[in-house]
Amino acid sequence: MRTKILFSVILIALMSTAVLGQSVMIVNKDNPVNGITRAEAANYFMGKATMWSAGVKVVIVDQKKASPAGAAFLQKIVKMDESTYKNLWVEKMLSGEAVPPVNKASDAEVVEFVKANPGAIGYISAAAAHEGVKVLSVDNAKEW
Amino acid sequence: MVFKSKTIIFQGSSVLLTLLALILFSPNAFSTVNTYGYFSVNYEDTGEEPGGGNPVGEFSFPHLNLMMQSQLSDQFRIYLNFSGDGAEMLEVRNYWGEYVYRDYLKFRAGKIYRPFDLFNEKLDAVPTYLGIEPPEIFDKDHLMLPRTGEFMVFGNYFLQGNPLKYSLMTGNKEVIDSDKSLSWDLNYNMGDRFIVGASGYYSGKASVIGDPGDLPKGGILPWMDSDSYSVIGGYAQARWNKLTVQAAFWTSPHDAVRNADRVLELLDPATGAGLNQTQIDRFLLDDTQPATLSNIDTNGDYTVNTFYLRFGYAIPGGTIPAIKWELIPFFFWDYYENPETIAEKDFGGDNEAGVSSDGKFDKLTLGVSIKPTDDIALKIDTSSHMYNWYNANGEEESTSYQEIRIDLSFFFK
Repeated sequence: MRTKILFSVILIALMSTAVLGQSVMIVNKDNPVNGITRAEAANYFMGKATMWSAGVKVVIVDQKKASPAGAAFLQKIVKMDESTYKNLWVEKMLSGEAVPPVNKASDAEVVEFVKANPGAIGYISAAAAHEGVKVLSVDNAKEW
Repeated sequence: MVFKSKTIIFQGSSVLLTLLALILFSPNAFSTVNTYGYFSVNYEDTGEEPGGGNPVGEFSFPHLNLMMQSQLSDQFRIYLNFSGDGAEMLEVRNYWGEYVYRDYLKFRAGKIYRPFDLFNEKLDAVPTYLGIEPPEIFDKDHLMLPRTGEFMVFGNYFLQGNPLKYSLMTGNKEVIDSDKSLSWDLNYNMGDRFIVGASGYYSGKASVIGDPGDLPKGGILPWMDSDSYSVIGGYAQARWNKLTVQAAFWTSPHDAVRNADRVLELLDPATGAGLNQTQIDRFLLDDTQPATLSNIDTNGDYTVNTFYLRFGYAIPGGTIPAIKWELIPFFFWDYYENPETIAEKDFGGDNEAGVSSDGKFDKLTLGVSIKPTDDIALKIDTSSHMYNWYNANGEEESTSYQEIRIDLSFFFK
């Protein structure tokens, strides 16, 4: 019985990893920052931190949460479900507290936007092509 | 049932028009203008109140909030908030320009919602918060302080990755002769799971003598010649998984001087202000003597207290195929105490605390928010107001009445 439970747990863990995949945080290649903590990443994406240390406005780029990178972002970076994340942003928009995120439909569109905007920060699947942008480490790891 | 029709009227100012022009005509801004808002319809019905008065159901439609904001440069942002808030016009709720040096030092000027309590900046985000009615501190029938200010310094310091937010604000658009008003707010937010904060407001020496029917503007009752008051207190919010708990306590001592002529009008039975015995005794120096100008007690010092305790529990849906919905039952306990106010709203009174024999009431609210999608919220709740009052025989007794409210809101962008 114990063997079956252990096997099931391992299988579920493997399946979860397979669904989420590995993701990376990207910024414009001119951004001098090379790494941030998970808490800092969450602060950027929840509108709590709005400026890079050099005085450039942070422009956050979201993508569909049904995508592997979107699901990983919710689970590993902001640690909240999709409804809570969306509700948080509706509240911030309606109170004028923060500039709404830029929404893109795919990894490729996120990469193109980040390339063109010095303050942009986005997340994509680690396997996606990301030439021309810089991969930020999050808690000292390139992939998460 | 009363239907409120809406006529669209824009109330503007030169500052507002300048901001609007910047949004519409700045080539840098044009590509980054964000326009969004929400529609809502609202129904409210009050049950039969003790002492009579016909219960009236009130249906307002359609309420519109339209927001525009634009990031003009890395440092400069502008924001406009238009609203049709049941006032038969589309008014400009607030507008401001913001300059950000760094996250720890920002400046905002215009007509700005004051950071105060958990809710003052978020009361236009109707689809997102628990319940329909604001906490008593921001209820327009007995507003305890002006909701807006004109200039603010604010920012975030990050302690162990969590923001410690501060703000200092001065000026307001709601209370005259109050140029020295000052408010502050300080709160610490731990990963959105726990927020604890404190706020304070000092009015300076302020006055609002307007029409007798004016609602109290920013905490000052309309029969006061002057009022110097403060509001201070604290608030907290905690989230454990799907449970949200919110609490706050506020106290507001007033150093006020009554206008004897205005109080005499209130005491005249012919005007219909309908004061109860506690209120008559309070307004007179000698309650065994007739109400005359020389017998009016112009010392109007009093203290307003209020607290709330709110619970909500989000039950995730998903049992209906292809429809993602959420159900959030909520329960609130509100308390409010104002010994100075009177019942008749036509004279600037408050038909909640003013009906009470001691100016106190408790309100229990039970309701549910149904979110069939992330952009739609249907809220239904019922409240019971409980207080002491003088019955027809002049005897003090406990009583209560019910209210029911329905609000449907739709967020768009």
